[in-house]
Amino acid sequence: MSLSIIFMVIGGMLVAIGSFCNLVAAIGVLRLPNFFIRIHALTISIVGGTFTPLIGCGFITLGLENLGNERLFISGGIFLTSILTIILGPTGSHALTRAAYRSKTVIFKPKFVDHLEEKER
Amino acid sequence: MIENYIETIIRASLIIYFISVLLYVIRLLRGPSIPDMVLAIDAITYSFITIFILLVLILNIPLLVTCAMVLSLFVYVLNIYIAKYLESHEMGE
Repeated sequence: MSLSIIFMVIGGMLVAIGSFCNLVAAIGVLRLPNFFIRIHALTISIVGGTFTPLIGCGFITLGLENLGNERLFISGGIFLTSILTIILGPTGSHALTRAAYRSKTVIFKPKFVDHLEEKER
Repeated sequence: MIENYIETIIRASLIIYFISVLLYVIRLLRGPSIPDMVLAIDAITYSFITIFILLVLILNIPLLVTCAMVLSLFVYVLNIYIAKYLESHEMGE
């Protein structure tokens, strides 16, 4: 009984932190000036806004005692989704950034220093 | 007693997630180049993964977990295909 209360408190805190992180990421994606700076806000949205609330929802589902054995199925699926997100999300965003830099399709306008350009010359 | 607090937190989080989806849609419509639009689609899909998981807890529909799992794989495939197309102008075999 007390273990389920601990699980639900931890899960509620993680869900609240995740929703705050996703709001910050949305404002960042809308307001930041450049593609290579906006990709930081996308990573906040992946790690802080999706991975953290999914872990929290898995703990909340483990704490719901009245679901019976069905809660193990639901929380297993939620933990599997969070592991897939934390592995595949930064990999995909890194590949997208690399392709956008190599193909020169984005406008790199407020640019102060670019060490990669000198290195690849 | 604690279930009421958890339900309040989940309902407030749903409202915040829908507001951030609206902000991402503004960036999707305004994006000056193709990678900006792909970035906005990524963020929208990750938000919908979390919205599906929160709807599982609110509405008690366990099958929505499978939809969220498939969406998290779809975003990865979209990123890799767009990256391959931008770099070498082909979609793979």
